Amino acid sequence: MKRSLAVLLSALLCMSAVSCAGGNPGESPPPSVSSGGSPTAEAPPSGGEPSAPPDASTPAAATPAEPTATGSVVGRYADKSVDYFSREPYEFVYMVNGMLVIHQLLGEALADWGGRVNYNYSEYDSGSDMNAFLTTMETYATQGYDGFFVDPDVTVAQRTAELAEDLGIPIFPVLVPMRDNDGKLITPGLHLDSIMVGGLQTQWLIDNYTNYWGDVDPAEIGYLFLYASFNKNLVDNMVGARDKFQETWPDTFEKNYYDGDCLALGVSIEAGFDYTSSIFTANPDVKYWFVSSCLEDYGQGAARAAEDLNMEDRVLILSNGANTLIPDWQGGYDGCWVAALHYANEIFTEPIACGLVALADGRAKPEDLWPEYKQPGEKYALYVVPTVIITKDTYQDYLQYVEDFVSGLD
Amino acid sequence: MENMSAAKRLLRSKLFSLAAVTAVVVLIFYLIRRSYLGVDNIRGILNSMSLSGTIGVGMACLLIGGGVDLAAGAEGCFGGVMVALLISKAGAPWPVALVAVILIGAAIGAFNAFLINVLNFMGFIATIGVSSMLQGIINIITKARNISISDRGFWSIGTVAVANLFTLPFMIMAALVVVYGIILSRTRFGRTVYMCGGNRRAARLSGLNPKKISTILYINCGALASLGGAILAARMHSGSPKAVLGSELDAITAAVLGGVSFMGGAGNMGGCFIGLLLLCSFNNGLISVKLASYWTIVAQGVLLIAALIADYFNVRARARELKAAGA
Amino acid sequence: MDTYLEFRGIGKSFPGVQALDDISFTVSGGRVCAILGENGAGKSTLLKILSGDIQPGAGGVYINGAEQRFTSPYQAIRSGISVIYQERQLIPAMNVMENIFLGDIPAGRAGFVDRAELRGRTQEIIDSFGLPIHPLELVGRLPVAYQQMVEIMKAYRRNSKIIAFDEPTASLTDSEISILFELIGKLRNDGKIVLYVSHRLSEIFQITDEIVVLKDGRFVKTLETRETDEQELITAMVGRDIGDTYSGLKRNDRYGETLLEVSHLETAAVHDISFELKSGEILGLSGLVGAGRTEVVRAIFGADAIISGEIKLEGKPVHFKKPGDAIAAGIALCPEDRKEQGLVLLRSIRDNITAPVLDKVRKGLFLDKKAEDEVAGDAIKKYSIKTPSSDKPVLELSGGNQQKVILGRWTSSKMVTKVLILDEPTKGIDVGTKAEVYRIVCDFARDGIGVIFISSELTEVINVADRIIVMRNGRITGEVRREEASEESVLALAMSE
Repeated sequence: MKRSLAVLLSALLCMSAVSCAGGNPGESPPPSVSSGGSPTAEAPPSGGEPSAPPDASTPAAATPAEPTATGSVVGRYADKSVDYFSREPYEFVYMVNGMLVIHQLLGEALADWGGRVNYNYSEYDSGSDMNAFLTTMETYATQGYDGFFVDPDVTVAQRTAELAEDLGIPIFPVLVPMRDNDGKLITPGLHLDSIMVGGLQTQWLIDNYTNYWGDVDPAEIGYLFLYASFNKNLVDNMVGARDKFQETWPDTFEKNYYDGDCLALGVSIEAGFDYTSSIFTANPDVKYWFVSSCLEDYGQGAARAAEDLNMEDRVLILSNGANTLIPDWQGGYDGCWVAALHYANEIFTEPIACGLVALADGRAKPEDLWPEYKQPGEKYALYVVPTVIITKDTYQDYLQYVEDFVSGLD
Repeated sequence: MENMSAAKRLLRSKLFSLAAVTAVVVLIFYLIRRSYLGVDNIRGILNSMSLSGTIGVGMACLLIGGGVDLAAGAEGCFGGVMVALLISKAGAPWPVALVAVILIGAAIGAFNAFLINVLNFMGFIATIGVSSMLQGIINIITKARNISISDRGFWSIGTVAVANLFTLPFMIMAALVVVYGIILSRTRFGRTVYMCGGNRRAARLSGLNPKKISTILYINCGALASLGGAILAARMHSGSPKAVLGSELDAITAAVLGGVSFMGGAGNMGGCFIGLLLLCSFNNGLISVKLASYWTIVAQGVLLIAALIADYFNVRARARELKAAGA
Repeated sequence: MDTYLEFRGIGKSFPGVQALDDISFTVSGGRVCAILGENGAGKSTLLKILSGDIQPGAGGVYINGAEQRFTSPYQAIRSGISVIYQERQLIPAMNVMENIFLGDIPAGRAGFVDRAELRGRTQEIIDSFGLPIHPLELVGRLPVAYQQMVEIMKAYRRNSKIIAFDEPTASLTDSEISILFELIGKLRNDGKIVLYVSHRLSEIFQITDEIVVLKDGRFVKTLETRETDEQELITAMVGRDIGDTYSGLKRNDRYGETLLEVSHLETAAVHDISFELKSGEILGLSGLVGAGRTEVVRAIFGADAIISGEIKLEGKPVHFKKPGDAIAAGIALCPEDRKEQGLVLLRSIRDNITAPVLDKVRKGLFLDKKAEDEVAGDAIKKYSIKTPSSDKPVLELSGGNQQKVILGRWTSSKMVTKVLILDEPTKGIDVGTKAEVYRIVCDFARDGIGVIFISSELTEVINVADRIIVMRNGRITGEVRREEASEESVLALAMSE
């Protein structure tokens, strides 16, 4: 009996080993933060561009995100009229239904903001238990908390918002905007558009390749976009990138575009390496390569693969995320991984932190925030997070900009 | 069976049927795409074997000895992260960092051995627990970020290659396969591993010391896993909190394909090597023929079943022979 | 009308052994009948045939004159037979009433369980037995004795007419045994047939009406309990024709120094064990299954922990923490279960033989194949192990040859064995090889090895050993010299309270 159980167990193990070969089943939705994977794919605001334009078309200094020209500064750090420290610190808590790495990193940034706009920060993880989430909200309310940052289960979003309203305590979603059962926003929220961002990635490569290779024939450029198909946002990222490539060079698209679904190999640097390596060696007649990715790790793997195959002079890599690349640049890296799409967590969380403070102060009601970002038919605003594409030459300016931004300089 | 010539024995062996399946797979992919057997691609295949192979050597020894280490992936990840930290943050020279990381892996292995041999936890459960613990520690240390390594000397571990075909990571793995293969088949220690894995109680009553062997094997597995993770970090230029995790299952799959039994006491290094070669050439081939990802996963399952069926026929033929010989 | 059960001409054989041969007897309702016999007499096989677990090879079971052909235990149950084994056949996760009504749960409308009725009927049964058990208690939580009572109630609920008990008092306290006997009395008064398989003569005299004695698979006689005594029973159980198996043995008649001295050995399983073994002597260790003989030798061998007591080897006190230590000192053990504990089945004959002496067949860093082959070859020749080569996995050998491999391991040219312990060495071996083993054991003795020979087969132990120590319940109950020993005397010591 014991033997047959052991055999069965080992067979199951092998089956699952094979079926997840390399893939990490535990890794559900959001990838690592600055990879810019957006939690929901949504159409860009009807206005077209975010009013804080990432300068995606030149490798020159990225223009920092400017405060909105037309919109209000209420609920933004740029609002100089507020004296945050004239009051007692607020008690804010970030409540997450199932904390992942990305939440942790955003949480760190939110904690930092607490020091700038005067609130005490704590976190709560309800695991996957929404009942516990809602009950704990009530508990916090009785303890006198002033505001909630939330990332509940999206299907229970409406209930969560209603509860907060009953309790009379302002809430603000962090990663995923909250929508009711009809799909309408119930609070203001933030949003990263995966598809648009993918398009930006491709656009940058198209606009800049001549700076690296000179005037080569686009028909000789292959495009590999590395992603993993288990997550919708990652897929959207790929779709945006791929469609932009097709739009720009439609005649050669079929021949030159390579699908980069790394699902079977997993979500890691090595997966990117192995996949890219295989594609490169399977297509030795492709002269030039664009490589882009939805996750920074894949881009890093691709860079190593290009180095390994001595192809650096004909490969350009642009990753979604620069957490590893920036230290590499600081260490003097000068290889074919030339650029990365990036947004700093501090920038991402600024409107959230300041927005919640504004609501808690009573300076604004939720529907008053950022009117310029409201789409037709929506009561609340959907702020689009500015992203930039940085290169070896521009990253320092961007880092400086972020520092200035959070120290309150304009 | 003993009366058969050596040639016929080889033909009947599991090693042969596995090698035959591998040859067929390689041939098929070659016919689809000539570049499959190009120098660059072969190097890529061998390279992709190096991580799972390094871990696999330690894992195979352990499996043969009757144990299992499901924390090997986490140990490798930890090794990669630690080597990155030691080189980048602590400024240690990379050879020192490498040795330190191997020792750290050995220490984790010793901890596993403690849980299993002293506290008598089941190997399966204990190492799953250690794996979770390690992953938690890794996340805390790295804050979920990769740790860059800028020591070019260390990088060279990943780039040095012989004849543009055999990279250093692969050669290290191959050397380990050979050395441990010899140890298992020709030394007293190796024989003891087989006996203790085959029947722990009988081994003890024959004067062997299964607990000591088990401890050594767990320490060995931890050390090799850590080494594998460190070498990967050299190739990728950073220690990553997501690297290597799950590789223990690849290592186990390759070992089982190669004839190692979960019951212990059976299998050899040669089989594991061929098994891993089969898995990696297959994966590589699937990507280069542009097979959609979900189909790739199905194909991997089909491969495993095919290899097991080929082995089944082999076993059945042998059983028929035994019956005929009136054993 | 009373039920009556008849076994008519029951025969059953397994490969190599005739377990039952022409068993015929009847038992009437309202009687408790003991089934008595040595190990291997065929009691369990008979019970298995009764319960439908196996089919008889010859003959049949008749209830009230009608032949019963059971192809499964379910049919036996339906025919009114319940067998209560030593291992519980209950579901610990379910409660008492669910277990009692297992297979026959009353259903209300639409097939749902009628819990009220279930509980009511269970309570009725419990009350009629007068037991302090609650219908809703989880069986797994009940003490063992009460679990057994649940099984009896289950049998009762099934309206079983024939209820058989297999060694029911093994794990019961005295008060629990009284309750059990009361229940059995009730069953008898209700007209059931109760079969009671046990070694415990005192209990048999207490509770049974008649006793059936089996020996070597054959029916010996039926005795009325109140008309017989212990002496008569034991005589009926033993007394057989040995034939030539032992006549040719060349015994050793010169003993050497005292080799092994055990004083007041105490382990978790055995108490106050003291004996001596001289070089060249064959010491038999006899007793019924569970007497503690294996535990004694395992403790000497270092395989089990010792609580207190002293062991001296060649006059020097020794304390072995693990078998490896004992082996190095010259003590060797052939375990009782040779497949599970004695051999690594997957490995070759050679590997199994050289296991304890790997250190001595080395050349530098590597094992010396030639030396190994030599050692194995010697053993194969010496013991006439039937195999074309030493590479063969021991899995493929017969039981007798496997035992020889183990013997070869301990007596190879590289081993120095002073004390050789054999635990049931002829279990499951054919008669021809058994004789070989006896001859080999006597050869050991003549070479000066001290042999401890554990066996449950009375004939064997009396004819092979020079001296016999008998154990029961973890203690030594007596010691007999071969010349004075008889099967009756040894068995009496083995069964004495």
